[in-house]
Amino acid sequence: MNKLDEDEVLDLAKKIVSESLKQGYDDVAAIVNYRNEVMVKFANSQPSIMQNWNIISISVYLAKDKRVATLDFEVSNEEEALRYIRNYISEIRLSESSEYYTPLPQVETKIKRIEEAHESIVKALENPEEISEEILNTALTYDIDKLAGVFNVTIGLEALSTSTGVETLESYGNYEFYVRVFKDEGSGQWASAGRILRRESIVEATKIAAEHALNSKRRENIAADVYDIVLSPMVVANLFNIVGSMASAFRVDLGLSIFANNKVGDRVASEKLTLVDDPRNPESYSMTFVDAEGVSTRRNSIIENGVLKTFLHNSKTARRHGVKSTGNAGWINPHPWSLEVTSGNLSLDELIAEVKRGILVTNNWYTRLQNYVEGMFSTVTRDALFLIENGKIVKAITKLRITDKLPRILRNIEHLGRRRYQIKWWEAEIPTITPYMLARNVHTSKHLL
Amino acid sequence: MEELLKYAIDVGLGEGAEYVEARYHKLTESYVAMRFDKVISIGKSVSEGVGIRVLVNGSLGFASTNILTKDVLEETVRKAIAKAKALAKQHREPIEFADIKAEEAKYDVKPKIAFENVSVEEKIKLYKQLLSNLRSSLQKTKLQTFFIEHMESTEEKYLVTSEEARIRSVIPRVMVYGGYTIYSPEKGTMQRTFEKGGSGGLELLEKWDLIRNVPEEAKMLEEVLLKGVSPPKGKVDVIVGSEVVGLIVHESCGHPSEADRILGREAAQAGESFIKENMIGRRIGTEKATVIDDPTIPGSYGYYLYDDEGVRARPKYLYKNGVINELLHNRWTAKVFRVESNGSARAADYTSEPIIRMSNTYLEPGKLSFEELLEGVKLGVYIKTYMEWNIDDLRWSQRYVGLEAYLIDHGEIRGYVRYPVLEITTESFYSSIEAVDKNLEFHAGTCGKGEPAQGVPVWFGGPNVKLKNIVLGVAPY
Repeated sequence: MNKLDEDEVLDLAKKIVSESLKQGYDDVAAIVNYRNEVMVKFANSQPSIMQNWNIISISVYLAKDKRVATLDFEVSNEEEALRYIRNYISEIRLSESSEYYTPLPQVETKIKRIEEAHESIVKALENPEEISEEILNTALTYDIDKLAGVFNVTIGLEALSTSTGVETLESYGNYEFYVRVFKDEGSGQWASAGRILRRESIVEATKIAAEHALNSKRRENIAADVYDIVLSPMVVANLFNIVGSMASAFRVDLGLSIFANNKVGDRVASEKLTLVDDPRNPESYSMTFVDAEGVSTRRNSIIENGVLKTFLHNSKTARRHGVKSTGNAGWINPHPWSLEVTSGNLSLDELIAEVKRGILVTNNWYTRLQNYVEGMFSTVTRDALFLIENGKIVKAITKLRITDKLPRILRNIEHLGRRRYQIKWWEAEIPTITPYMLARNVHTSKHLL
Repeated sequence: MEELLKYAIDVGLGEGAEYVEARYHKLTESYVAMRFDKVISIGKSVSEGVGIRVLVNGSLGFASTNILTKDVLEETVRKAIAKAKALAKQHREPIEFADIKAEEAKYDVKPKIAFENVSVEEKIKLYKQLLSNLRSSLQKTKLQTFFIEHMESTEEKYLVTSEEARIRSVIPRVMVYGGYTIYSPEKGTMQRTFEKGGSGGLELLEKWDLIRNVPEEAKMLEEVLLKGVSPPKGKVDVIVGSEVVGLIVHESCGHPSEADRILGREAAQAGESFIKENMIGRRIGTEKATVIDDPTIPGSYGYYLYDDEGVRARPKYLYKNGVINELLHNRWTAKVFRVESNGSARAADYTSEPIIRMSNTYLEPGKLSFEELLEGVKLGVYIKTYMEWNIDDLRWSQRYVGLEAYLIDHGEIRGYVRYPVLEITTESFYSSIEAVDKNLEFHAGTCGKGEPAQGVPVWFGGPNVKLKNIVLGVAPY
């Protein structure tokens, strides 16, 4: 396979569809993605590795007599992909009709959205060492012990062709940055992502991480208890990656969702919470105009003022639930593209002022569930953690767990911050634009021995 | 392919690299996904390409492509070198690799029942039977959800390095992942997810006997849901089942023993380690606490004989008789620690740099029977399986929430316990081990690490373990 230009990416997708139809498949969709990506990984205030990718991937959806298959290829030539597709007709015949099968939607979307990636992204892809130097120099203006993190930039093309006549081609260019800073016992972590790489975003993320590290360099123990908790955008992003994914109608069907026993229109959260999936936000890391079935994407309110407004659907789950696709395909599993929590009207200081006795949690990781339907979970706090008493931060404290039920936390959201941050990192893969959030009466735990 | 890989090496050396490694890596996977007795979809994925790693001026560069022409490969190598050179001046400590004996080897795992000898039809039939048995086993609760995914994969690798290492391998694997929810109007729901995995062919399905074992377990969970009580308060003895022990040693011995983590390379992702550079020889537990990571176990999910830096694999005694004994090393950390690499570098696919990983990590079993472990427990809890777990980013404070769990009363299992929580530090766990039985079992998982995140197949395991004087918590149900 050779390097591809714009037309070739779409031509390859179209060729796969036409060749597959010749083999006797009833429905075909093909996505061809071609990307160039660079990542600098830091540790101990220096680069640990520079990674580069130059990759063509082909994903194919096939249906024959209501039997459904997905094929994914990162192979060295297109003929090999076509050979697998040809041979798969005998395999798919041995399967059974899928309860999810529905004909691909008759949308005939024709979109060609080729924009040059923002010059900041192009420049960073060519000279990532300049950004790397900027990050290290910014961090070193603080009295810190060390810095670790990742800077990643990608430019790519994605084409979709379907047997219903969809032909789309989109270009994209984006960056992801996260940084963790250490000082004595303390540490801080922050992230930034988007389609325009602003120097001030990199500097700000580094500054927040550094300040959290410095402010938590001496920490004291407190007992696990029920606390009011101010969740930073890092924490909201991690937890709402899970909540947003649980809005997928497919995950509901599998019993992997807290919304499994809900209907649209149910109150599922505090009226302060509005959770949106907005792939049309031009600032979003994963802005996209079309889903994997060729349905135009749109801004969907998942939860609006605490009320469940929609599940996320592709055409298959939509048919089963008797609704229309929300533009979130995933051929099998519909998924959120880009989550947003609507902002409130308080500054961080004002949010903290609302807390009589509580904790500001700046970061977390390792969120796992005991029961997805009931939302029983725990997550480990990490980095700076501050005790709040009578509306003021009084001291940095040592790690504990948030150990509660997701539905209870959603119901107990009382205030939201004004300023929003776009967060994407290792523990929050779906970009999430969110403010700080105050949830009342959150259960915590600590090791008992 | 060999010629292409050698060409990449020559280009790299010509560009001034101190070390060049080119790895052809192909992963072929097939799946069947079902919900209840209906097929959702079937599918296949093939990823094939070359990952190239270079060391130049003390700076490490990695590049990969699936465009396998000479031109693109050459450009990929040049790019890796140019980018690594550009970053070299930002290094305070140049990266160096420990010396190795470059070897030439070829090995594979031969399936007894090849993938192509069992049709997709037969696999669907098997999982329908599993569901039917599961439904029959549940007498008092309703099966609310059920899904299962069957996965077969073949991993082919060919590693060539500028030091003349040549390692070829072919490893087929089978994995089954599933989950279900049982429901009682009075007690709510209980969920179980399960995973089986190993290297070999479809003979593994016979060995796992899921159509019998999954329903048997569900029958017990039904009792736990309906009759389970909160765990006793105060200090009790706890018997931790093999599945939980396996996870504990993976999380609180395997991960903190990764030398790259100790050196801070994963600090912004999975974190660092409570183990510091000078802690080899420090006591962490009782004499019974011996944890081994061994990639060479035949049939294991984490099986390999040479790592992805060309170093021959061997068992590593991470904790030995309660003492921190050996770390997991690649060539970089081995150089820093002034030891030899013990062959722990793995890459998930051609897009991935080799990093330090576990393989099959387990607590060494003893000689007692399970009944002998129970003897002498006046009041205690047996935690056989888990769902929720996590551990902090130094691998010190960890939490496991029991699923199938029993009350032990005067040496006998007499009742059910719902959601007991073992929330404990690493040192407290290993220091509380009083006895271990002889029933070594392994469990499969996909371990995540690195950026971009790499999932690699691993086994974790151990015998049943008796802990003294444990305080249990209870999950908020």
